[in-house]
Amino acid sequence: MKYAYYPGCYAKGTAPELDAATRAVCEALDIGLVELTAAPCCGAGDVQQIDGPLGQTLAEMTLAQAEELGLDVLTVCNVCTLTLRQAAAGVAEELKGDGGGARCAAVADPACAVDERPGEGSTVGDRPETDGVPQPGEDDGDAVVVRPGVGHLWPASSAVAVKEAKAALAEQGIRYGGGVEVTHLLWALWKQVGVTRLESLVTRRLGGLRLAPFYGCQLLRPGDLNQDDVSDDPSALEELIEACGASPVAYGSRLRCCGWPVMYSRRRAASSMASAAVRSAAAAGADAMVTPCPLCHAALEAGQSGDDVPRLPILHLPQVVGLALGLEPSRLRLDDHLVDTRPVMARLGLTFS
Amino acid sequence: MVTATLAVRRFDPEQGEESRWQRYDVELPDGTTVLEALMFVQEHVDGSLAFRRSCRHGVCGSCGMRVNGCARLACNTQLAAVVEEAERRAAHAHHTVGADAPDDGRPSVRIEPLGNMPVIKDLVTDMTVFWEKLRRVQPWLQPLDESPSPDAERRMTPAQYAVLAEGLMCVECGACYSDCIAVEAAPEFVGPTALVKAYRYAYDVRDDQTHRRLYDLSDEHGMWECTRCYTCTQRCPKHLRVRELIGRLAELSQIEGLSSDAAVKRAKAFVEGIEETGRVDERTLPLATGGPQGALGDLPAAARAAASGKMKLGKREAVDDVETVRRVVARAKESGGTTP
Repeated sequence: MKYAYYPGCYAKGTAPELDAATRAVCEALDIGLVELTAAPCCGAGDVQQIDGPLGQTLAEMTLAQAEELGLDVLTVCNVCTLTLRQAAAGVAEELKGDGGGARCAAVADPACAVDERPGEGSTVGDRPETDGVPQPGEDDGDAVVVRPGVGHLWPASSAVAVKEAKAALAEQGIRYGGGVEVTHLLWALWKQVGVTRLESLVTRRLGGLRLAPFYGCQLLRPGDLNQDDVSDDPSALEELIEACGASPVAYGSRLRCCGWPVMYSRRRAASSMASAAVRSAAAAGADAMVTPCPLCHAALEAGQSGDDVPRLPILHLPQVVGLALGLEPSRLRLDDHLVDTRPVMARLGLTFS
Repeated sequence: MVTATLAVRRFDPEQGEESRWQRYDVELPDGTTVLEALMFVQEHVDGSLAFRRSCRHGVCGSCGMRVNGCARLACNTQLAAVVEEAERRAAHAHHTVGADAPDDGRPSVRIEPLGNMPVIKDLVTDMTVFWEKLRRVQPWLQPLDESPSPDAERRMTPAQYAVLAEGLMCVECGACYSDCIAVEAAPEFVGPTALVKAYRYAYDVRDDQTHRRLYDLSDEHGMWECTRCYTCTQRCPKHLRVRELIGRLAELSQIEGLSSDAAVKRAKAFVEGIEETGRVDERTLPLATGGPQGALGDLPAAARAAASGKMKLGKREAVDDVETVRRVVARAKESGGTTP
């Protein structure tokens, strides 16, 4: 198992403990990491919503660097994951040559009936000349016809960004050929390592520790780009927490938003989202929250600045896994948190050496 | 046959303030939808059960409701699928601490009214505010030339049509609005449904009010209040990429020069950071976004961060080959695109 490691801005910035814990855990689990040292910020959706072509260009630079190494990308951030996956999906649509508007590979809500399931060969086939644009209600014999309302449409407007990004990258001698998968540490641990193997490697069971899993939005939604787990009903974090010997806590906010995307721009809304999540986890009796995303981590810590919010340590996923693998708390940089993690350590009978 | 227990959240203002769960056991043919199950209950078991419905095939948008906690069109949701979903959830719940005790007998399919709006009775909600927000975006075509000759067509190319068609299929069922986390946090937020309508008209080449539409939606509770949780895209029963379209609306507002919102300043701080080191310097975001007052507002957190060494000043290390990144950003700025 070897990945092109894309730490993202927070793990290289105010969350160095996430980078440290990721490297330590991957070393312990024999997951090879080749850091993409020249990869820029993915744009985080912030850049994308003021300048789509620039956002697409930045994301594709990272994908191209991984492609050159012949490796898939491993991220440790929900927003990096979705942003890179969106960029890759845009390129995939462009390579299909139907100019956008084509249906993505799956529907978001499996409970909703659809009259045809996209599957193999569900790309637009021999359609009549319409400037590569799907025509609603068009029927073309056996060819699968794209109709609005059946499956997700990939925005035709994003095709513009893909085209412009291609030109911008070509000027720098960069080309992304569409051959890279983007995954997240959570999925690598859950699917590639697997719960059973992880459990067998645990040397320090985190018995008695009650952990509230906080998934974060962009690793689960939208479901057609994030197919790793069931978007509205995931279990990966709970299963990993159990594998580590700790108890996953059920609480109302596990699939909610931390508010990071509107942090600083809509302060009241952002802090109410973060503090509501912390309160919900604390009320359910959690000793700490666990998240796969450094932006959730930042928001959930900042959301505790009010006096009316209980103090709850926010742990990065690899810190929890690292503890269970017997790694030293200081190596996982558990002492580098804004919200003191010592109550968690005390439960495990650990101190910082 | 599909065997199911429906747990319906009932509310009758004439019988008190509290809502209550009522269970109905049904056994219905394969292929039955949730709406058909409710109609069966209403007809044969309990005539007092209230819900909205009309077309029964996903066009009118009347039967939006929460099924197993997710806003869906009842007519577009297979009963067997949500029974299976309820069973899976109950199985998961055994592994967690503090989960609701499983129902006696088989797990029930929970049916509740849409969220983010008051309940009138049972599954019928008061959508007044929802409609007001929709009206705010003036969802009708507004060409300057209001009286072309009756036989004149307003034409567009297939490519132009394809762009607005992405927002065309909305049936105003309220599923995205019901589960919108930003509406819940800031009830004045105009919400995803209205923004999709705005997208559809702002991108319509026959409309001449694009700038005014975007200007109107650039206020505090307009498009920039979206928290990008993608719940709307996830929920849309017509499979519109709701959040993605809100993003395209925001991008169009930049082409129209509407850049004073704090969210735009935040995004520009990303671009500045990327141009300097290849990465965003998140320490700059409070100041860039809110001005000095904004930075002061975060002082407690910032002080604690400084104490733990996280926010210590000093330049960040640049990514390798940052020159290429800089050229890419510079090109975007020059291209008359939307960057600062």
